[in-house]
Amino acid sequence: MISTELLRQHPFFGLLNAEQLREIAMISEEVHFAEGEMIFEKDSPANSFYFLLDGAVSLYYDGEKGISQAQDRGIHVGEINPGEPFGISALIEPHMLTSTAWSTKPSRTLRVDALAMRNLFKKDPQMAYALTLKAAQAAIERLHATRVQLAAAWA
Amino acid sequence: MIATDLLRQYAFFSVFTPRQLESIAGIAEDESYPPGSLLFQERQPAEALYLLLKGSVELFYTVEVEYHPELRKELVFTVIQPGELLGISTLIEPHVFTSSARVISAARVIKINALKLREWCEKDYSLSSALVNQVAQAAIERLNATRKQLATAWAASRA
Repeated sequence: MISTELLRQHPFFGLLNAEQLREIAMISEEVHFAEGEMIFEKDSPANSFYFLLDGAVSLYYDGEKGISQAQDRGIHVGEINPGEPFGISALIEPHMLTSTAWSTKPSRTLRVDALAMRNLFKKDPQMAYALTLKAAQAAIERLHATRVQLAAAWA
Repeated sequence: MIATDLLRQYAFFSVFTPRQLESIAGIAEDESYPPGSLLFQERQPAEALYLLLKGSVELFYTVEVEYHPELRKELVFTVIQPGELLGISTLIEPHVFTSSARVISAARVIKINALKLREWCEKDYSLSSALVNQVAQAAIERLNATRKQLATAWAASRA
């Protein structure tokens, strides 16, 4: 359980009303990660949704074995800054993580229990819409950034 | 305006209630395009959501260098197959297309008016959560596919 004030400060939760913020706060906790610590791993079930409060997180994709050996973490596919969500697959079916997240600085995160959140979504479509929309927005931004990376790799 | 029966044939519409389907049918058109047609262009306002029924459509991105039109290059990222969505930026702010779409083989689409759709999304949350769910899924699938392409491009550059 965290304070709803912590949620209220961030536009990501801006579409939620006071009662909805309270429900999310009740299933959230503040979790800290050290520099160089792995937060979650690609291809595992997305059971938690994260929101970065402080620090820095990098997302890596290890497509094929050869690549992960050449560079220990795989390919860098995204940088998470404070105020941004990660582990967004927790909100999107089939709820499987599509990248590996490493904390690259001491990081303070909000971790939301995704199973509890999906249960809230079932009874509150407005909350489901508000948060899935923000997750989709993050996915589109990352898609755009990855296409730019791909364009550079093809050049 | 199209018949709700046409919508009912596609998995994408299976999550909607009969009333929601009727509303969607009222703002949708059944359209066909020959090869080479541009359905939409990157950086333009996203005003329609498309479901591809037949044919194939490529999504591409244009790289331009200022003052050097000869360096203009088109990069094709993916080919959309029947049953898949096009123009998913339509439901997501800032409502601007992030790629261009060109018909490769004769395409038939259901084209849904996005302005109306967005208006309803604000009123009927069971409609909007179902819609945005599918849009988010398409976005994650494409993100994953693009990461795979990036991994392949990297592997090739190291070989």
